[in-house]
Amino acid sequence: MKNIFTVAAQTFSQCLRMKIAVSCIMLLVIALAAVGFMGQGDGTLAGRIRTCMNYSLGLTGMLLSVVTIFAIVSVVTEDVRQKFVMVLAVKPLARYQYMLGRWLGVVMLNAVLLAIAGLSTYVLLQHLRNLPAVNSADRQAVETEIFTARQELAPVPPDIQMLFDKKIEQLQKEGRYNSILQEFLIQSGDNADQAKLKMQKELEKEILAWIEFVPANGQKLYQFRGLALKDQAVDGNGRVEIAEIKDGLFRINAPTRLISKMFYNGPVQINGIRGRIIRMEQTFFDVVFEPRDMQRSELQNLKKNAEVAIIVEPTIQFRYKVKIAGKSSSASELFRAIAFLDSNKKPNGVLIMGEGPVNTVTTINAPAIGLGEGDFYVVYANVPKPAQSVMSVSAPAIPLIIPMNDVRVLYRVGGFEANFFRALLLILFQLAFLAALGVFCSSFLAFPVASLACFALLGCGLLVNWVSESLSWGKTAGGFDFVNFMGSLVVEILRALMPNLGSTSPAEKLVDGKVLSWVAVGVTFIKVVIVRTFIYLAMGCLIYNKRELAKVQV
Amino acid sequence: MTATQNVVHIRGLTKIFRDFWLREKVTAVSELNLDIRSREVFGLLGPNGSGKSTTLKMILGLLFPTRGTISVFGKHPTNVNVKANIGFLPEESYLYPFLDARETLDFYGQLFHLPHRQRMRRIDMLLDMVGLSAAAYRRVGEYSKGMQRRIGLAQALINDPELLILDEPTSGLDPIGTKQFKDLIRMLSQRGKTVILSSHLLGDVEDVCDRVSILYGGKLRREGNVEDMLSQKTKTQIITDELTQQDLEKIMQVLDGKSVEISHPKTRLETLFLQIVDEARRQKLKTGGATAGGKLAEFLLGNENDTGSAQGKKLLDELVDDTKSRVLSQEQAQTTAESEENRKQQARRHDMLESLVKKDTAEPNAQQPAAGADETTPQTHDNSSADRDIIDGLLGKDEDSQA
Repeated sequence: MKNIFTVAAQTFSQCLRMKIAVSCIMLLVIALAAVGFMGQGDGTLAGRIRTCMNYSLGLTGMLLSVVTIFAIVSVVTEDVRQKFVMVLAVKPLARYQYMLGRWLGVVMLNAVLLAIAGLSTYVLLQHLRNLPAVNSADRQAVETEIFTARQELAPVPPDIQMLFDKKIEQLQKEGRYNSILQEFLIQSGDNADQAKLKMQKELEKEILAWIEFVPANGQKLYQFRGLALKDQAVDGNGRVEIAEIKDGLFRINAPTRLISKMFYNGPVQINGIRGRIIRMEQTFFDVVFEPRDMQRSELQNLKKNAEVAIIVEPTIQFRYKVKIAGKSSSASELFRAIAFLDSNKKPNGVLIMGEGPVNTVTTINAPAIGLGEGDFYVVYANVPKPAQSVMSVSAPAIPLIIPMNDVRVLYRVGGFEANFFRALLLILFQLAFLAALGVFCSSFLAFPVASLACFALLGCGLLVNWVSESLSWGKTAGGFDFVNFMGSLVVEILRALMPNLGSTSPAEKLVDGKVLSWVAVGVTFIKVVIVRTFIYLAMGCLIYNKRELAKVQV
Repeated sequence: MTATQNVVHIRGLTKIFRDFWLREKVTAVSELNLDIRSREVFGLLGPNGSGKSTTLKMILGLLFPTRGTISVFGKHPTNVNVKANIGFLPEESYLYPFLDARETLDFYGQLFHLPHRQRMRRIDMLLDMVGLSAAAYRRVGEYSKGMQRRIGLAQALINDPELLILDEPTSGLDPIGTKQFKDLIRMLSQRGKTVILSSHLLGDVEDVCDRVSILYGGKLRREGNVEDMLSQKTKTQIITDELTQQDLEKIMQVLDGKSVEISHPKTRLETLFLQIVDEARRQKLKTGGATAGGKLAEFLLGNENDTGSAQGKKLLDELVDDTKSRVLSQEQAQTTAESEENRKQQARRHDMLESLVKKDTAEPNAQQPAAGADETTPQTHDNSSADRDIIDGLLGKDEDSQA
């Protein structure tokens, strides 16, 4: 073990002196500065921060991947090419110790470079966070959709098979089943199996379209499972700055950490009484109370500079996207009502009404009153826009489509800092894997071929999902398709060789403020580091052990 | 002699190099049998492509034999424990150019698990010995070829190896370095180390080796004791003070018509060169290259903890006695023929030591050779400063062993 650390320390020092690290840091600094100043996103602060975060993490990962491959391949292959290994291999150093030492040294270098890059990115993001937002919704998006760690829940999927069986039953009852099947038989050239398969696919498509369809004046009920909002409330103290008892309004100075967890029209408890937030700034917020609550002594006696206990209740976010069915309208905004029901399907009293954009992913913040643990429901009602005055008329509702893949509920489960740290860990795991891949390739290949092989495999790891999806799109029903078979075979081999680096990339989740749980980090560690890294290291060591290290010109 | 009594035991060693398609390209070594005994300086000679380096690399486990067996200290050459007792100086400096001399020695020292203090002490001694103390913080990549050979030698000695393998050790070295190198090899041999030497410089091999093997075309052509192989038993050489014409005539009469070649012996160029450099050093002239060095590292004398060097004939006598006792114990373990050969070798070493001591005690200023005291025959030793250093080193060992 001591020998491994000795070689690792030497490798670290070698990489530093090869100017790899210095070049990498310089490139990172330039790239981060460029991203920080030039990345504007959609013009909002949230957009700018998302762009910067995405690019800076992407650049860090990409740059360090390149550094890792070049560093590990060059240190191992140069030892053989320049015959340094002739001195090293005659010392009491087992070859596997040498290879593991090289790998560990590069991982150590990566850890240091990643720490520097991570710290720089974090400082840049905090700087951007403190810039003025375009509007209050922008500030809210920054605080509740980016600088947070949210758990995502998908709605319970409908039982397609059951619906399919029902549909078949209905068609048989109506006596239309045989005629429809006949149509598919003609299309499939009298191949009964293929015809049934095609029919099933078509019917499933139809069922899915029906599930996603919301008729005018209709509604959709989404069931969610596994909500865990227990102990998610945040508390602290504040001081009254303005007390307008008559209007039921208070302005309260409070720490930013509390204010950042609030949202507009969201609930907040002051001295145990729930009020509604109507304004939020960096250091204070305005809250209004119902007239009946204002009669209570906890609020009646509040004067300027009085200290109050604040509890910010947990929030859930409902995310969805609507499309207009057919070409019935070109409206860019549609009126809707969204209600939340507890596990007993009883409304929790929160009803959000208003206009929302079309063809854009929209996030609605709602107080999670009455929603603690387990199941709950969200109702999306496609209702007509009510008349604004006696002179105007109400706008009729339009049939909609809400894709199931765009319906999600999110809720805060942790802070941004810990999430960011876990994201860096995931990047480090990938780099450790790449270093092992480099060890393997350079155990039997020379520098140019070994680095090329590593980059090719890295590309495969990033694209394996995309290739797989492309193949499934092109797959024809029934029969044997040689191209698809070969394609699938290649994809399966790539899957076995490489972890899906695209899916383990943390930038996407971090930008979306989604939690990278310790469980996910652990699973990635086992899959990428323990299993695949170990396999590549073991293969590299075995090959190197059997290799003649003294190159002889004959 | 069995494999376990030999440091290196080679039987039927064959190495065939093949091309990408596994077709036989060249047979570098063919059916080689070789035994390298403990405590001997063994020379591996042969022209380019004769298989010397391939053999050495197989002994070191850097190449694998196609056929045949090699054992080093009775084990397979790739065995990690075996490597702990080996020091290797390759034909060129294959050291990391971005490390300085200290870092280089520290890195390799760590691989032998030497404790930090011991490592630092050895590094100081070795740098001093190879004359690179002043360049200790310069990167190895900036060194001249000779300096790289010196640091290469230092890394080979960091573990005080039992078996030292030297591939073209004196290539790139100046005459002073070459002299020091040869002195070092002799001294290590006296300490009971085994040295395998591969060199094209036959003079160097002749000076230091006890036994040599001559390879050609990957096969062993001749093997034997250097003295036996080189001595011309049918001729006699007499060296004496200058003779007058009358003396010569008398000698011619005595020889009674036998063929005689009469000439004045010449000083060796190496000796002359060493004198001039020694003179320059005494005048403290500046140089940017390697300095004198040459003081042997104490730990190589088995004197790890004492950095001071003692002097005194009594101590040296004890060392000689110690050498004798080792010779005796070796004799008991060997066959009669081999014992005879070893006795001769050890006796020569003993004589050499005694002659050195006589010079040391007779000439208080032995480091400055007197004019006209040059050696005139290739078989004897000069009295340069490097010899003085050997004596210092040996005395240092003695003092320590007494302590």
